[in-house]
Amino acid sequence: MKTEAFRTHLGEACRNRTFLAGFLILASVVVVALFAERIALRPYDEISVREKLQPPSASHFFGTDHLGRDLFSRVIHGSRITLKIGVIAVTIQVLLGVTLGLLAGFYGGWRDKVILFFTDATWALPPTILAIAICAALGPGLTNVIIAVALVSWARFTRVIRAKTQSIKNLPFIESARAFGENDAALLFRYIFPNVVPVTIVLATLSLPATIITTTALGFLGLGAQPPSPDWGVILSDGMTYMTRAPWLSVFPGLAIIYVVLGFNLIGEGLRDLLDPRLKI
Amino acid sequence: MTGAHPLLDVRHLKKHFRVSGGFLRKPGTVRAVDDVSFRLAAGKTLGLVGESGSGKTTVARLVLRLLACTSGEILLDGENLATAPPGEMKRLRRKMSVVFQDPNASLNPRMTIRRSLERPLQVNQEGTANPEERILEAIARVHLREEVLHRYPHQLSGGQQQRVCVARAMLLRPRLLVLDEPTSALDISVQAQVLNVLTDLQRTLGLAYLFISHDLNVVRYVSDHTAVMYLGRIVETGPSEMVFENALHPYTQGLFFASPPTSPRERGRRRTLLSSDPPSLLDLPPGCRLAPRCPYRTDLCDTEEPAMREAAPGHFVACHRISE
Amino acid sequence: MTNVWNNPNGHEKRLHRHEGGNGTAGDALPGAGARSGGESLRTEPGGADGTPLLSVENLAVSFRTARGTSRAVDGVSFSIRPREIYALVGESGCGKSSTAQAVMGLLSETNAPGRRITGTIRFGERNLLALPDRELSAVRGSHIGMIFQNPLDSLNPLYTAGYQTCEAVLLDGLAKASAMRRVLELFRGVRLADPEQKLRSYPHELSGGMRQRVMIAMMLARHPKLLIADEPTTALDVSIQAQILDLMLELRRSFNMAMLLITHDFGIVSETADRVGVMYAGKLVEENEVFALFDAPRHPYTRMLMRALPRGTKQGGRLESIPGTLPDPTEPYRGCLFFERCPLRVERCATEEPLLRRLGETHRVACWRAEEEEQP
Repeated sequence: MKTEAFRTHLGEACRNRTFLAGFLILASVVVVALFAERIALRPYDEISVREKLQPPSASHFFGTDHLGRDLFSRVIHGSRITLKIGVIAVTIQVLLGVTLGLLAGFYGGWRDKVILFFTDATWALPPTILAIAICAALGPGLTNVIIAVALVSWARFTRVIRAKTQSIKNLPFIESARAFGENDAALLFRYIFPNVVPVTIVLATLSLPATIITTTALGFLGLGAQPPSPDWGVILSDGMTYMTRAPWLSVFPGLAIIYVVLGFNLIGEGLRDLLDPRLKI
Repeated sequence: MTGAHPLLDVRHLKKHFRVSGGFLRKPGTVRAVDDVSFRLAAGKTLGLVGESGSGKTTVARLVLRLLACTSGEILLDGENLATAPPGEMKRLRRKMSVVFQDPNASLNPRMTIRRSLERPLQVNQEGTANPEERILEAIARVHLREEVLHRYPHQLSGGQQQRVCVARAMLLRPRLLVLDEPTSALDISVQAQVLNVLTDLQRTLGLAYLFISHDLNVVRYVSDHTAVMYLGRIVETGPSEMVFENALHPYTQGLFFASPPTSPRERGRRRTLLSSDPPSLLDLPPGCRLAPRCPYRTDLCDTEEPAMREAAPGHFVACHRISE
Repeated sequence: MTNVWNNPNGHEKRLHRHEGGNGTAGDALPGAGARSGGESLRTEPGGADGTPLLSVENLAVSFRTARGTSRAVDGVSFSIRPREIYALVGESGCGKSSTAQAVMGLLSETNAPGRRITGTIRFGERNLLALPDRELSAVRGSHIGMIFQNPLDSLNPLYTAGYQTCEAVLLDGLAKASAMRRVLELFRGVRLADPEQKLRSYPHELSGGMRQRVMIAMMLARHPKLLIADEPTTALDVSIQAQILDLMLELRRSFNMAMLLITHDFGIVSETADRVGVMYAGKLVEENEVFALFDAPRHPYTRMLMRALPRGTKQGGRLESIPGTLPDPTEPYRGCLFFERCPLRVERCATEEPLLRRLGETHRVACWRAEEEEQP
């Protein structure tokens, strides 16, 4: 029965063009990230002063940067960083935000007030600036970027999951469960949580683009991965100096960012269409 | 009222809600349930009727301990649910079960029917030897086929969903089943099926039903005894036949007059006995709560709340004019 | 046809109602004479000669769903005479609401995408289904009004009751000041207590019964000849239900309105209807004048439905229910749609669809075995 249900869902998913488009884009990004070494024939950190700032050609598809490194290779390898940061950061956001949202919505009272206080405080601060502040405090580096990005955006999850929990917790099926003896923990994890999963999935996929852009901004400011790491934000930052002489240094990483963000946006919107009306919650 | 050793003995049950002054409301107390007492014997059905604001739904939740009462006693098989500590409650809860009005909202949309039926057994470690057998038996008793077990709630019709809820309610062999408008959301033919299932189950398992409904025909059909509630109090109670054949309280009479006829030949009988709308629960009149609307009201009714008096054997009414 | 409204006893009893009722008794209703624009009620569509006010012919409504085309209404024909109350009865999925919505023109492409409507809905001389939107809006509201089940959803929570009703009145071209006076008259006419105060009340400040009265007032503002009421009292308490039904009957008298009443409740049908149409799976299976229908239903579905109503006590025995379920509206069918569940079915029923045919002056049934004297 489960496989049959899955196949119907899959069929329905494929018919939704938004989802399909997003899925294909992301699939391509994942493939690229996984097989970066095979796809990018040259290493990304090979410096060659002779070949610096060369425009795109047969040997260097995207051209070279100011240190003669192959841009194509750098962009390809950079996708790994982007995906890694994005997925890890959003996972932390989900764990933190959803847990707090469930607790706040379910218990109410002082727990709700305390959680809301922190949520609203975080929500009120502009995310990029907050991220910069955290990174500045913790120091540059990939891990700190992930932490910073996760910490600025979890509030969105809490708010939505809290509202959803509040609307579910008074439904008769929860009361029935309480009546036959389910305790609070069981109600939260077996009853309410599975019903907020669809919303969470949609939120998570729609949260990735913002995360990626924030990460890029941090990299641009030098707070991200350190050289020679091919972080897209770093590449953009380097390319800024040579904007007029070597525009390809800005164009290609920019297009890559757009491509990935577009993929996540499309898949998120497609999922929203697919998941919500059918479940009628 | 319903027997020497009642299964459920509710005494002077009260539930008052404090309403804080808000933007548009003044502060006050909503006396949703205000000194309600009744008894229910094993294997019998007590019908609780009333309109919105009568408190009947609150009574159901109080009996199930989904709400804590303000005062009063709820004795189930002699044990007081109102004061039972949480540890005891787990054990006592097995004796009670509930079926709500909206069958679709009463089932977890993310659980298969089988899972929804397994949970009560797992939580209470009941029938762990063979839960499958229990589940299949429950399904059969409500005349559903085994294949519904694989389905999700949204794949079933309203009637099937409600029968699943009844099956779930029976799994732990409760003694008391609280039914809050169980057929109000169902079509006529489906309602008939569910009512049949309920009467069969009562006969074979000896369940007691606390049956809450606004539909007088259904209550009359299903209940051995009927209690009529108005604004948090019981105004009349007794064996169903007596209450329906010879309604004594003006509110009950008003309710019966207002209910639609069963055939067009009964049309045109007097339909409105009570004037105006009921007052808000925040602003109850002193004396009898029905007085402002009652065609028989006297000065006494305005000042003194009537006590429940036995007007005929087993038939109790709270009205000053009855004793005359 | 004997009409209970010609019965002096019944008439009298209704006049005595509401004496202690919800508001002042004896106020003049803004009835026949008050209409601006000078259109006399004598020129309404459907005169006293028996021409129907509304004539639905072969109405079919289907919706495109993920699983195929779903038949909501499948070839329904009936007519309503002026001042007549016609009740469409059935369980969920029978198509009665879709029929009402089609008559009212509420199934536009925007709120019912993928719908297909065929057939004719004749109101007066006009076919409502063929009217362009602008003309349809003119008919809707001024000639046909509709009230719905849940008045809270039908009223805009952001505007006062007075303001919203005024909007309806202003469509008749009255000046603002006289419009407000008219609204007050309407509120009195629907027996709203303290009507001046109600003008300034917001929907959430009103009880369910009051909101339904406001809805009725809004609908009456333009003197419709036909009022469509889709489960108007289902969400209300029994005593309020009684008041609203009484109000509707009284208004029918003073406004000379006909009503199409959609309901699943046989009690409401007993109380108010002149003629009844029973629907099943998108089709009209039986139609008769109300007394005759209750005395002698001929279609097996009607009979079983009536026997499923709880009467008396459980000591009287089990209730009769109808085995099986509704057929799938997306699947093609052959023969009678009630076949699977019918205790009277014979071979013919499986292959030939019984069409609605006349069994008496006021009686139509869609069943091959309807004429048989002995029915189990």
